[in-house]
Amino acid sequence: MSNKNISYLTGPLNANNPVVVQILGICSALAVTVKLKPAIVMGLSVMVVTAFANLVMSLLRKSVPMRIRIIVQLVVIATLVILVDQFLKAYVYDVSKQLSVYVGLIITNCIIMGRVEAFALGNKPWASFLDGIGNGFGYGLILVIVAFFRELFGSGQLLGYQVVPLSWYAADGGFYYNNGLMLFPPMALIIVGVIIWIHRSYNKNLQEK
Amino acid sequence: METLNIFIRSIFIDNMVFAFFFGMCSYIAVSKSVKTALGLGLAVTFVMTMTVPLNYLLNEYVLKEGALAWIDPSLATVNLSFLSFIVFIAVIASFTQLVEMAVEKFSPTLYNQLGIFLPLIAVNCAIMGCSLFMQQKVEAGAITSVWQSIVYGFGSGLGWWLAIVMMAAIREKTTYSHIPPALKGPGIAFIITGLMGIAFMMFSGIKL
Amino acid sequence: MNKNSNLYIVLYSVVMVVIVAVLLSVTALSLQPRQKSNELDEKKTAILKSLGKVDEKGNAAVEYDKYVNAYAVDAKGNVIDGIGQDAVLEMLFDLKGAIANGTFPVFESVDGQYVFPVTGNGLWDVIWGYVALENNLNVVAGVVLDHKGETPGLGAEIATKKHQEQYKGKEIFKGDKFVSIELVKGGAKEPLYQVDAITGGTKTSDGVSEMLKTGLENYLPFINAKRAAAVSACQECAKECSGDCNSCLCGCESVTEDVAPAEEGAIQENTESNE
Repeated sequence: MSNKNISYLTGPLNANNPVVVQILGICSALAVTVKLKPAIVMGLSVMVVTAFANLVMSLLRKSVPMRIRIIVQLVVIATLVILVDQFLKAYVYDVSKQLSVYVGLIITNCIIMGRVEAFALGNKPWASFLDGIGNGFGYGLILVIVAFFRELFGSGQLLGYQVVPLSWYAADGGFYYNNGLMLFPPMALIIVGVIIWIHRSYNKNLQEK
Repeated sequence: METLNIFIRSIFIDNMVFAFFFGMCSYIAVSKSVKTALGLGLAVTFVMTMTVPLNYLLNEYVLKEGALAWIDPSLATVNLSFLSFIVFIAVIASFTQLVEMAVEKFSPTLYNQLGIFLPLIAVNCAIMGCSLFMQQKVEAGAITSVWQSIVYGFGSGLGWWLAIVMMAAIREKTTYSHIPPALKGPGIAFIITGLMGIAFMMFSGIKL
Repeated sequence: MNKNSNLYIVLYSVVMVVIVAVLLSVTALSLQPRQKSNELDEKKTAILKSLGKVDEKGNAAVEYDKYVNAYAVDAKGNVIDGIGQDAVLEMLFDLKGAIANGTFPVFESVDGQYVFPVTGNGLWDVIWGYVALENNLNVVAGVVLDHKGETPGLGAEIATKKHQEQYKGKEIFKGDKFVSIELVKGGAKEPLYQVDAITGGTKTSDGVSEMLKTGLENYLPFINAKRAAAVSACQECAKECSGDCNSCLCGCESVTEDVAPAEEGAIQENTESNE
């Protein structure tokens, strides 16, 4: 794999992260970050859809008429999302229930449209595929970080396993309370805000004047 | 009464931005000035008010399990709900195209300001999300008529409008505040949105 | 061919639509049976769980199809003929609709317990549950509650084992009067008919109380008929045995005897969870 291809994969993880740098695709998905497990499934689903949408559009890039480009993109993305949704419903039913409408909202996830427009229409299939994987992963990474903190402080668990010792809890004579606020939607936004803050403190070139 | 309840809930309690994070991309990007925010909010509200009832009718008469029974009773077992994503997005995309053409013709200044975000209304999660929530609410029996779906779409749009205009007003003020350089721009916008969301939580549990 | 000609665009769209339609229909059709059985299994597991037959890992101790007999009753409590087992399960997907139609699904275990599905509204969205009653139709054998979108950590606690354990052994009749089970803030005052509400989840708790009350009320004619039958059977036998119900030893059922298998069940149930 050439250096260029590797940079397609690793770029979106940090310097060019779709969520914290480009501010794309935060839309709906943060609502699934109350628990780690749905966040991971959501991240994987978006990765699959971005990668394949990029691949398909890159293959079609020479034949697609410019005038109906957007519609073709939407159809390709929507088809992929329906496939993912059907597979989730058939094979991981409990997770698909937790994700509910948010799977459908992958269609409107700006990352996917954004990558197809900005990258896949002008690059070879393999590079586009890698770019999709990289961006999906960069997005999933942020979801997982947010979900990690929300589940840990909100329910004292990780992936459903109790992490905070039960004997610490005030109900059992300890000193510890779960932070109920973590479970509410606004905290996801605040955590993302803090992640952006930390990220930009290290990447000074991204700071706004 | 039920309808009024849907209206109030969709604006304040189930606010698209504060409760579900819908439409965050354009929300963060376009909330730098109140004027553009007003314009985009108006466009979103309009598209939502029109697309939700359209999708409601499609859901009711084409997509739902047994929805095709009005053509022929033998079609009562057909379930096309797996197509709903693609149908909804098609309706929304074509509708946005219409709005875009209208805005371009009647208000070129607004068109220039909104720039790339008008086509992006098609991929504004708030609009798609509103239709998907409508479908869920129909299943749960909370929305039972076209009228209610119009109210739901309109209310959700107003809620989004309210959120983006409030945000833009706050951001205009923060230009003069001393914010750590790394937090400027989207960072502080997220945190402000989070705090506004906490304020909006006080509406939760209101029942009419 | 010119890529921007109308003919090309039309052809392109047609080909695309055909490919997409075929792809989606094939997938949807091939996965549908699996999805359907997932949905049915979920309901079956919930019913068995309320009866205390599902362990920590979600394995059922008994086979649903052999253990549970499903039928529907009408508003007067009479069994409606001609509704298949699966059709009764189907009703659970639209319980509100089924109730509005005057059909109420009932699940009877081979051990003589009854499971009644109930549904209502929480703070945000629908909540639903399954109430299993012992064969005297008074003592609660187990309750399973679930919700669509209650606040995680607050209202959503109704779906936890900790909350649902409380219902076991409660009674829904005070003497002959139907009282249902109430969720009370700050500790239950009448431990036989009340359980502790969720801290910080008042609206959801009220929703659960309301759901249990109205939900079980739908079945009252059925429950009363069954109870009356049990009482008259007891009186019959008491006449023969020349004693009261409780001391009646000629094999007829009475309330005190019913409690014995219930307790046995309760011990088994303690070892399981409900996620």
